[in-house]
Amino acid sequence: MLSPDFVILTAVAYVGLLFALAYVSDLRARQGRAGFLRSPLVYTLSISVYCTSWTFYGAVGTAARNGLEFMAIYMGPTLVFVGWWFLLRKLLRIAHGQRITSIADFLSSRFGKSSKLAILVTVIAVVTITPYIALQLKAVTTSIQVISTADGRGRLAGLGDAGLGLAVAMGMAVFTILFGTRNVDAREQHPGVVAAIAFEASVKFVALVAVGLFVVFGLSDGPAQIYARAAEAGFTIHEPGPFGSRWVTVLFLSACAVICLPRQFQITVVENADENHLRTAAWAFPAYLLLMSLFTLPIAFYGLATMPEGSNPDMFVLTLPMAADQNALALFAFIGGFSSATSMIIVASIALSIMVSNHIVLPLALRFTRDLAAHEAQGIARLLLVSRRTSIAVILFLGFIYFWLTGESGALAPIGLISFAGVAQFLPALLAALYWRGATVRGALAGMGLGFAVWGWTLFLPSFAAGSDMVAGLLARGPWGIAALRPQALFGMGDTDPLVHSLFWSMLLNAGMLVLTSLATRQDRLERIQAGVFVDVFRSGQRGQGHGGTGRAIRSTATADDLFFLAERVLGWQRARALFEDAGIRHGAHARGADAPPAFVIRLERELASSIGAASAHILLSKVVRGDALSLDEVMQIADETLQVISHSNELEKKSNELRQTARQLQEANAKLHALHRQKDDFLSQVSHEVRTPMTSIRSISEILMRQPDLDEAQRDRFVGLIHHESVRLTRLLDEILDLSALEHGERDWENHPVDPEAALSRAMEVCDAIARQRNIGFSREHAPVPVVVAGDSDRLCQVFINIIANAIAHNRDPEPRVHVRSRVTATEYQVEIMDNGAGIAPEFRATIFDKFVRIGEAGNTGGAFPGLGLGLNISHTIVRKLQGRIELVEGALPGACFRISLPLCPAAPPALEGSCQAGASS
Amino acid sequence: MAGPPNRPAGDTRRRDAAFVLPAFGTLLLLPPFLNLFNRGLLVFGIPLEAVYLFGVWLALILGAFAMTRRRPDTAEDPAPGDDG
Amino acid sequence: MCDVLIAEDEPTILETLSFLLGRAGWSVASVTDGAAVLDMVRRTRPGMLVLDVMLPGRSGLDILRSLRTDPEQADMPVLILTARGQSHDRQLALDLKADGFISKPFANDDVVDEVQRLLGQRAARIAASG
Repeated sequence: MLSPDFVILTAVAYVGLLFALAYVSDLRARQGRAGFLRSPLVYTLSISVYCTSWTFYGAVGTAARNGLEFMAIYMGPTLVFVGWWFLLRKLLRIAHGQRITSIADFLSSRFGKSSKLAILVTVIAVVTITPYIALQLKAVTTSIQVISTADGRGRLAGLGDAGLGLAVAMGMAVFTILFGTRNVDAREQHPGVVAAIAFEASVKFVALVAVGLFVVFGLSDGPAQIYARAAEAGFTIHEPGPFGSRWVTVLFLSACAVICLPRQFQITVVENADENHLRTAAWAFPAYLLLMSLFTLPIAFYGLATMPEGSNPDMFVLTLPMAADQNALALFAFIGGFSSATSMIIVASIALSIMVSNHIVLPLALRFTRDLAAHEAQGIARLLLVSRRTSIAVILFLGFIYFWLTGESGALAPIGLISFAGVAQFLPALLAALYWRGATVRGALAGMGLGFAVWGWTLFLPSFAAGSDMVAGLLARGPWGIAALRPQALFGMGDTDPLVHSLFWSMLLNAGMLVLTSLATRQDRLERIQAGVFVDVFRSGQRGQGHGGTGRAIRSTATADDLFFLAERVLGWQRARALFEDAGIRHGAHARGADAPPAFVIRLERELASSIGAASAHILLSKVVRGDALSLDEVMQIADETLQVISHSNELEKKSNELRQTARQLQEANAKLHALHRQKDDFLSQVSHEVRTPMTSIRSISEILMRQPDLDEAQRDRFVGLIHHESVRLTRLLDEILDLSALEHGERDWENHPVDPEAALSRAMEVCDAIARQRNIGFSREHAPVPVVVAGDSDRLCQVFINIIANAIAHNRDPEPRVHVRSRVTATEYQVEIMDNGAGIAPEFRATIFDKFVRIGEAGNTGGAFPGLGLGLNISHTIVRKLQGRIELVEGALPGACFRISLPLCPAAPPALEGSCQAGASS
Repeated sequence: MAGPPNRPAGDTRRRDAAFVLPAFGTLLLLPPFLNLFNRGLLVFGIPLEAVYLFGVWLALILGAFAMTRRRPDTAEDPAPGDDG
Repeated sequence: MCDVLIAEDEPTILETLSFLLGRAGWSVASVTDGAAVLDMVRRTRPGMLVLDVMLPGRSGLDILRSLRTDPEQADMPVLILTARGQSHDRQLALDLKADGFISKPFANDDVVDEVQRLLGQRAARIAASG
C-alpha cells in the first residue's frame, strides 16, 4: 500500500528525469555529438513505443480473457520487420528522399501533393488515435488508483476518475509541449524525445521482465507449475477453439498498425537517422517484443488462479507484486506502465500535431493571410510552433473526452484494436503509393474515405454503445430500421466477430474503391511524376538520398540553397553560379541555409522564365518560396525533366553545329588540298623548268660532241666544261629540293647555340666574293659596331646569307653593279641588310617573294627582276623563321632590292654559356 | 521475385532468402498450419500452441539476425530493378 | 640583218644554239633581255626569231603577242622554246600564231630542221610576193 501522494510524486519525479534526459540529448545533438543517440540500439528501443500501456497492462488482460490472441498483436510487427527488405526499406528511402514529415505527408506527396488527401489522412489519424490516447489515460489513472489502494478496487481520495484523467492529460500536454515543440526551426526530428522514448522503452522492459521473473520464479516454481495451478483452478489453459478469422484479423491489423500508426511512422521513418539501422531493428525489435510477451501468459494464469474473483486482469502486473507485499516492485511496475503510456502519448501527440499544423492549420493560415511569408522571416515558424502546441493540447483533451465518455466500458484491448482498424485504412493507399504506379489521388481519397466511413460506422460508433442508448438502439435495429445497415451486421453478416466484420467490409470497400476509381480516373502531371519517384525510388539511384541530409525543415521561406538548387536544375550549374555570384548571394556551405532577399527571388524568377517560360518559373519559385504544396524534391523533379528536355535539344543543336563545323572544316580542308594540289603542280612545273634548263644544255652539247667529230680541242674543252657546269647546277637544284623538303617537314632538328652571326656573315661574303669578282661587282660591307651573339646554327645562317647575296649578285644588271652588306644591332635584334643597285623587285611580287614555288615572271606577266629564283629564298625564309627571326624586303640605301634579316639577340651574351640560349623553336 | 538475369546468382539467392523468411513466417502463423499444433497438448507443462508460437517467433528473429549478418551489402544502393 | 635572232637568257643554251645554227650556215644574233627583244628585232630585221618563253624583263609569249600586232613584223617566223613542256603552253603559243614550238631539252636536229623550215617558208613567201 502506497500513498497516492507518493505515487504521484514519483511519477512527477520520473517525468523530471525524462525531461532532463531529453534536454541533455537535445543539447548533445545540437552540438553534433549525437553519437550514441543515433545508434541502431536507440532506434530499435524507440520503435518499441509500439508497446504502450496496452502491452504493459492490457496484454495480460487479453491473455486472461482471450488466450493467445495477444500474441498476434506482436507477431504482425514481427513479420513486417523481418520482411523489412521489401516494405520498410522502400518506405524509408522514399521518406528520406522526399523529406517526409508524417504519414499524411507521405501519402499526399505520392498522390500529387494533394492537400485534400493530407487533410483526410490527418482527420482519420486524429479520430482513430483519440481512443488510443484515451486508453493510455485510462491505464495511467487506473494504475494510480490501483497502486494506492490495497485491492485494486478503491478510489483515490478526493479525486474522481475524471479529475485524475484530466490531470494526467494536462500533465502530459505540458510535458509533450515542452518536449516536442522546443525547436523553433520546425524540424521534424526530435533527438531529445527519441532519447527519452528509448529510455522509457528500457524502463518498461526491465519493469515487465522483473515482474514476470518475480511471478514465475519468485511466487511460483516455473511456468509449468503456473499452468498446472491454473488448470487445477478450473481455467482453460489451452486455446478454447481453433485459431480462426479473428486471429488472422488481429495479425493483419497489427502488421498494418506498426507501419500506419502515426507514432510508428514518426519513429520508424521520420526520426530515422540512418537507413541501415533497420538492419538491426529487423531482428532486435521482434526480439524486444518476444521478451515483453514471454511472461504475459504466466502472469495472466497466475493472476487468474490466485487473485480474488472480480480483480481486473489488466492490472495483474501491478496487483500481483502488491498482493505479495512487494511495494518497491509494484512501484517499479507502475513506473514501467507509466513509461509505456507516456511514451505513446508523447510520440502520438507530436506526430498528430505535426500533421494537424502542417496540413490543416498552415494551409488555412496561408489562405487567409496571404502575406504571412513576406511579413517576417519567423512568421510561419512561429505559427507552426503555436499551432503544434495548441494541437497537442487539443488532441490530449479529445483523448480525455473520449475517456470520459466511454467511462467504465470495456477493457484496454478493444480500444486499441479500434484504433488499429482505423489506421489500417491507410494501408491500401500506402501499398499503392509504394508499388502501384497507376493509383490516382481520387482513388486514394475515395478508398480511404469509404474505408474510414465504414470503420466509423461498424467499429467506432458501436464503442459508444455502453454509454448511449441511441447507439445501442442503432446497433440492434439499424438506421431507420434498415437491418441491412446495422453497424455490426452489414448486409446481414451478423454472425462474425465485430472486429473481423468491420475490417472485412472496410478493407474490401477501401481497396476496391481505390482500384476502381484509380482505373477510372487519370493522374495529373505532378501525380505521375511523384508516382514515378515513389515506385521507382531504387531505380532512380541516389536521388532520394542526394539532399536528404539537410533535414526536414518546412519550406516556409526560400533559402539561398533551395533557390540555388532550383536555379541549378533549370539554368545549369554555371549560369546559376554566375547569377548568384553576380547578386552576391552566398549558397552552399557558406550560407548555412540563409534566406535569399526577395529582390533576388524576383530576379531569379525572371532568369528562370527565360529558360522555362514565365508561368512555369512562377509556379516553381512560388512553390519553393512558400513551400506549401510542393516539396523541393518535386520541384527538382520537374526541373530535372525540363533540364533533360533542354539538354536533349541542346545536344541535338550541338550535334548539328558539330556537323556544320565538320562540313566547313571538310570544305576548308578540301580547298586547302586543292591549293596544295595547285602548288604541287606549280612546283612540279617549276622543278621541271629548273631541271630542263641545265638538261637542255647538257643534251644539246652532248649531241654536238657526238655528231661533230671535227671540233677543235679548245671548243671541245669549252663544251665539256659547260656540261660539267650544268651538271653541278642540276645537282645543286636537287640538293635544294631535298633541303627544302627536310626543312618543311622539320625533319632536320638543329640545336640553336649562341653563335656570332658576324662570323657567319664574313664566311658567306668570302664565298660570294669570287662570284662578285667574276661579275665585276662592287662588293662592300659595314660591320656591326659591337660583338653580337644570337641563338642559331652558324652553317644555316651562312647558307641564308650566301643565298641572298648570291641572288643580289646574280640578278644585278646594272652597268655598275654594286652589292652592299650592312649589319647592325638594335635594342633587341641583330640585323643584316643586303642591298643592291639592280632593278629591284616589282611591287606586285614583294608580298609573295618568300613564298614557296612562287616564280616571278610567269608567262603572260610583265616580268620582274628575278625570274626563276628557284627555291633559295623560300629556304632562307624557312631557316630564318626557325631561328625566331624575320627576313623581309625593305627600302634600302641603294636603288635596288634590299633584304633585311633580323634575328633576336641572345640575352646571355657570353658564348661560353653554351646551351643556355636556345631559341624556342628548335625543331 | 527472381532477380534480373544479369545479377549475380548469390545476390539473387540472398534476395530470395529475404523474401522467403517473412513469407514462410506468415504461412506458419496462419490458421491451417497453426491449428496443427492447437490440440491441447502440453510440452514441459506448457501448452503446445504457445510453445509453437514462441518457437516460430524465435526462429524468425534468428533468421532475420542471420540474414542481416550475412548481408553487409544492404548498405549499398541496390542495383536498378531492385525495387523490393 | 641576220638569219636567226636568238632570244634566250640561259648563257649555255644561247651558246649552244649559236654554235649549232652558225655551224648550219646561218648568221646568228642573240639577245638575253626580254625587254630588248622587240627593239633588237626592229634593228636587226632577222629572218626569224627563236624565242624562249621565260625571259627576264619580258615574257616570250608577251613579246610574241606584240610582234603579231606590229604590221611590220607580223609575218616574222617565230620558233618558241620552252622548258615547260605542258600542252597548255604549246596551245597558248599556237594561239598567238607561233610558227613552231620546241620544248627543252631538245634534239639539236629538231631545232635545225625547224629553223630550216621556217626560213624556207619565209624565203618562199618573199619570192611569191615578189
